[in-house]
Amino acid sequence: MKKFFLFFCLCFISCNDLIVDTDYSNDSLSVISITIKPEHYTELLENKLKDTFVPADLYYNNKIYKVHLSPQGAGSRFYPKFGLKVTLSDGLIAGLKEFNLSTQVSDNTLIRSQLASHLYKQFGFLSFYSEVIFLKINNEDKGLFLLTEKIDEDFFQRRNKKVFELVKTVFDAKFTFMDKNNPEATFEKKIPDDNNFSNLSEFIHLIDTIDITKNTNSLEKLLDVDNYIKYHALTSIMNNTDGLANNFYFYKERGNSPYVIIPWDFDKSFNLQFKVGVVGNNHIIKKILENENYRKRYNDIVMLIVEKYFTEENLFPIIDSCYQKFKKFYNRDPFLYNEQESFETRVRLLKDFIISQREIIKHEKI
Amino acid sequence: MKLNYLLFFIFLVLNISFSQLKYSGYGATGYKWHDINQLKEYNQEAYYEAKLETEMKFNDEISAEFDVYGDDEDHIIRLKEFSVKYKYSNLLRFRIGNIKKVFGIEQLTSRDEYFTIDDSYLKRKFSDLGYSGRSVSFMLYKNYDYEKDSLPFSYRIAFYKENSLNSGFFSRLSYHFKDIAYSLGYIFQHRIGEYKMDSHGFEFDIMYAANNFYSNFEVFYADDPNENIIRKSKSIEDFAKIFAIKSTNSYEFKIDKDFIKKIQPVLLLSYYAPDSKFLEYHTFQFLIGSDFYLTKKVKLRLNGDLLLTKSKFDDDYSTYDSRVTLEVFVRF
Repeated sequence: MKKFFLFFCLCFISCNDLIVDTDYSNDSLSVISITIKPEHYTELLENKLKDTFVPADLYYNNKIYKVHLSPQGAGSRFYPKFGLKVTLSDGLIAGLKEFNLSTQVSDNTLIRSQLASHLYKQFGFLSFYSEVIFLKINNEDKGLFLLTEKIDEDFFQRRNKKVFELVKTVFDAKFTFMDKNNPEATFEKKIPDDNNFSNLSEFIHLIDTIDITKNTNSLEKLLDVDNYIKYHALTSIMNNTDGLANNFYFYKERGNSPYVIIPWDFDKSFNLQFKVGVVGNNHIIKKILENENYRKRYNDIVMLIVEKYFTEENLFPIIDSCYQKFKKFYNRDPFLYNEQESFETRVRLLKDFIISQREIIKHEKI
Repeated sequence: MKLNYLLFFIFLVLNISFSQLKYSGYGATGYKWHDINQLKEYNQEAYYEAKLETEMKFNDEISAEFDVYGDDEDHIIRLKEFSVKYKYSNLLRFRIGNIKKVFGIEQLTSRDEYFTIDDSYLKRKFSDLGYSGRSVSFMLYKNYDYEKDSLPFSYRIAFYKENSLNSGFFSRLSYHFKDIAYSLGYIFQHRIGEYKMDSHGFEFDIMYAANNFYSNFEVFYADDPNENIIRKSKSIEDFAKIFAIKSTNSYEFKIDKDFIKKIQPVLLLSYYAPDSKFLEYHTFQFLIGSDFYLTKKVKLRLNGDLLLTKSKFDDDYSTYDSRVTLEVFVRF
């Protein structure tokens, strides 16, 4: 009888395709375990360049959630480890109804995103919630992912902020009409969800035409210049090679408010391979720095960052804490684990970069 | 999954309850290439979709229709339309349900009957602005039947309410003279919420259909609610008016060979200016394509759709979102 009961229970569990991960001994890093029917998983894999939705069960923090999954990301969709958008049918995870599980393909420690997020927050930028988790799909290790809050209408509602317009820069966005430039091709209008780029076009046109040595008022009306200077300086110092023509939002609180910047996606920050320099190049900063007062302000901000924020004292404790949290899971990530270069080596390289970058920036002229 | 059971149940009940049931629909599968930055949206798409339309006739006056639709995007069957029709007289009919807003000829026609695979650029733009798409509407209308009607008119007037911020009404009046129809259309959109806006759209078109040849010409003049909300927020009172023209032409060549029964090429040309005061900023659409009929209801379709957009402040034309589509289409 007992055997029959046990068999019945097993059948019931397998009928629901419920596989529960039992490896929760480490309470420092959350594990998300997704159970998805093989046919649905195949659909997901076969359509990872589209936004196909499939149902699944998600196990997190001792609870099971009914969810829908769809592939997520831009460039990361072309990699074997690709991101997922998770939409919960009911309940909330980390206060969110919908979130991304982002691969952060260019961050081989998953620490860069944490550092960048910390710095942008310290500098007062509107920031999205993020948390590194370990993902399993059908009991198979998929690795470390960044659970990220999406920047949408709910993002602003949760922060009691109004939103009139939100535009995302997409890869290789241009802030000039001197070159061929159709904003619809390189920007994405998020709020409202239409294809009207007239505010942004007006701003880009102003960047092209304004004599900023004489008149700053018209630019200040369209862009919060101080906010932009802070963003540009911090992004350059972090050597975020993907943050000056991509991966940030132009946010307008009201119709007549200037644009402020919301940073997004930091996996190419602390880039060890390419150099942005103390003033990364784009048409916005080129124009801004034509004005002597703005140039001085940029210089002051750089000094402030180097003295107070981009320091070993501020950043190394975050690196060490992340290292402690991630190390048990790191080698279980089939895409991050590398016999030639250990997690420890990568963490050391990151620390070395911060030390050397700080020295370089200190002596670089604007 | 629950929806599938529900639909099966509905079909079962319908089959038992009604003797006069008519099914129709289509299935389509194809491949599409877009001129799009693939980091914004992937530029190639292999797709499939299908629609099943059920018409129920209760008596000579009352009938109803419901359509279910599914595609590869979400793998879910969705209810696309439900509407009830009542014939009061030959001059006055009523329809209530989730029906298409009519602003131009294209919105009068179903996907399975139209000449192009994708919606035209103009229709896509008007959908963005809320002048196209489906809403729960109450419509008064009269269709025109050349053989039965002595009065050469047709009309439709409808009030619609969306489950978002928009409501309004649309109307269309047509005069039929032999194979030609002249029509005037008007749509009103009332947007509530934090950014209130009333918008108007006017349209005039001529349609010719006879002897295997079909041609139409349409002129549109309409407010741009999205742009005007932005202008209003900046206290600019000079509102944007869209000016657009479009012509669709098609001819049916009978072949009657073993493999291909007929060929129906299509040519669609349009011009769209988002602000009629600046006609130099615009989008041209050149769509050339053809349907190859293997049987009356099975066809291969090929469309090449070139978009040339000259956006404000930009000196060059962009081909963004131009596309080539190849499709196999089955109607039943």
